[in-house]
Amino acid sequence: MEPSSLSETTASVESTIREALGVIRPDAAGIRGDADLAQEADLDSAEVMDLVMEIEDRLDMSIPVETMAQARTIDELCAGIVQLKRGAP
Amino acid sequence: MNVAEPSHASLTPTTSGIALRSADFPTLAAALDYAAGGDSGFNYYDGRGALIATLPYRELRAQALKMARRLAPLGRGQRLALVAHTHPDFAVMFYACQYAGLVPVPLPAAVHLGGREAYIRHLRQLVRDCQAVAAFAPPEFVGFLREASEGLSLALVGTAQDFSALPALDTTPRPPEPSELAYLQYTSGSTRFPRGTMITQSAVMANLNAIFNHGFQLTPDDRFCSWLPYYHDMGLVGIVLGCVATQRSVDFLPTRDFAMRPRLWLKLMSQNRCTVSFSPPFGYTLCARRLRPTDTEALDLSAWRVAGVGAEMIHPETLHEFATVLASAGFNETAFLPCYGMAECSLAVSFAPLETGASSDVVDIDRLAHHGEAIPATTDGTPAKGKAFINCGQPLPGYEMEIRDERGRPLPERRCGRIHLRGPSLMSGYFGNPEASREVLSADGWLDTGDIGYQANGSLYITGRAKDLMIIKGRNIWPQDLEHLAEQQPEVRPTDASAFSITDDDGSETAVLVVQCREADPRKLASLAERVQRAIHVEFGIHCVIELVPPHTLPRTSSGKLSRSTARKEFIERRSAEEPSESRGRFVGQASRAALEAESAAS
Repeated sequence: MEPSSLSETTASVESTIREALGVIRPDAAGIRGDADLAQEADLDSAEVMDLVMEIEDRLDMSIPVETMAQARTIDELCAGIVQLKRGAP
Repeated sequence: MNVAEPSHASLTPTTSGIALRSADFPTLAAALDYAAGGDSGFNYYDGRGALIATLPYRELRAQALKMARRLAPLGRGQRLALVAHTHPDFAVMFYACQYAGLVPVPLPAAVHLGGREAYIRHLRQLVRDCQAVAAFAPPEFVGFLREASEGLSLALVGTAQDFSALPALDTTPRPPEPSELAYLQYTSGSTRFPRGTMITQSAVMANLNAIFNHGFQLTPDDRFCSWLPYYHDMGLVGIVLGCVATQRSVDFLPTRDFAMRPRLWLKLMSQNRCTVSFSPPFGYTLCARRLRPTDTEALDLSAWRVAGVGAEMIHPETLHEFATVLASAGFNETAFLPCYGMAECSLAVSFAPLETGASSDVVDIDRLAHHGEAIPATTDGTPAKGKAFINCGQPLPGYEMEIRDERGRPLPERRCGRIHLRGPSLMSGYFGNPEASREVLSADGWLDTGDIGYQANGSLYITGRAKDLMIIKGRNIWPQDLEHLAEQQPEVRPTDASAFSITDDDGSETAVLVVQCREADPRKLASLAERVQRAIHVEFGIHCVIELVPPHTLPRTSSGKLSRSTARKEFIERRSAEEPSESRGRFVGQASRAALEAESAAS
């Protein structure tokens, strides 16, 4: 993947995550990329699963537990998803 | 396992084709031997609702026997830790342990957002606690398990494929005796003080026999569907082991996929004409709240005849809400089957009568709170504030039940006390923890459940818990685990934190942690509260109301121990005395106002 398209992918994944977050917590879609996601957006574990579903449906991919387990912030979640997308054929 | 090609995936049939036997086997292995003669088995679905694998019992037995020859050299009676993700390999490994005489120990397979380290710590602690000789995980979880096992002396840590590479014995090992351990089941309890219940073959078989002959009898048309985790008693014993012991087919959905898309559960029930499924109340609530009208239109739940409900306090409104939302899909409210049980009893202790739905007893809340008497709210003609409790039915045959007062004396009907049980499916104790075993199991075989309830006409009604366990959104949380996280902060000293839960009107619990500290700077206080809250969130995936208080605020007993019940009472008094606007600065996290009002009215 070309460097320029990597940054495009990152930008598009991030905006998808924010869009999904906006469905669950309309006032939290603008939180900082390095803020603790569940904490800052005030999501309980059921709402976190709801968020993951919204993201999966938008990106048409499934997010493995390992990726979720390593992501505390929007930036980290975004990086994890980008890595999955780049690894995909 | 047959990894199904989507185009020609074929489900195991509902009819097994052999004469059905109702869990009347001496051991789990004997139950599988019989089930393998038929066509029924396990079916695995993914988060998109696609069938991804089938495991007929015939195949499960063949694979388990093969694997047993490789496991047997690990040593009879030794523990094999199994990360219990909803996956065919787990079933193969579990039954391979049965044939090899090893003791399988299911471990949790659930990670929270950003919760990698906490999960690894938890796994490591359980692997150590059960003194496992080896540990297995399906591919999705093996990375966590490898890291959790680093530096521990295990013969092997890996996937089923890795275990297949072990050298095999030439002969099939001797199958287990009824007196040998069938498995260790960790109570979904404290992460810091794990307790593994030791369940023998005869205990689990006695329970399965009672469940399927007296709790609810099956018909030839029954088919199960389940998203319950394999690492909890209801999912493991009731569904995985129960279906093998009754030769029924099951359609499985991983718990995580259910949590993400609850409607998939109902979709599978509908499309495969499933008749039996169990869930804690939380699962029914999640469905009721997430379903869209278009979802219910496409569902036909008219075949669903047993909708079991247990594992936490059941509130009538929860079930009614679900039934109302799904009435148009043909769901019949009389399908609800409340039950009561715990891992210490293998699984179930009592079931309500079948086909009547959840029935409740409305008692005078004031007399209950002040005198411990459960008197119908309407009997003496004067209007009293009533509270409804669910009928959990009579104890299964072979079980004795006593409701005891604080001094251990048996109480008559309609008096609240601690529920004590004695019966054939009790655990032998907690593994490697005689002290904890003695606390709950008496020499003459009585188990102190730590639950509070009363009996009326021989039926059991649960009213609360004497133990400090909290159940937040379906998850069991022990207060000492939250207190420990607070005490990890540099500003907080040991015994400076007290955790408990408060309950709102619809019965949902909120966790509260009161923390003493000397700090006065509001910014530093806010930072402390935030750190504690984050730590709790990462480890448990729940929100916790944090209250920071000055030193010497927390109440202690005469022996100097913290009293969580008094801390809770004082917290409710403080909160209800304050104006909502004042609480902003001191508290992080919001308990709903309704919760506080309900609590202060009840206390």
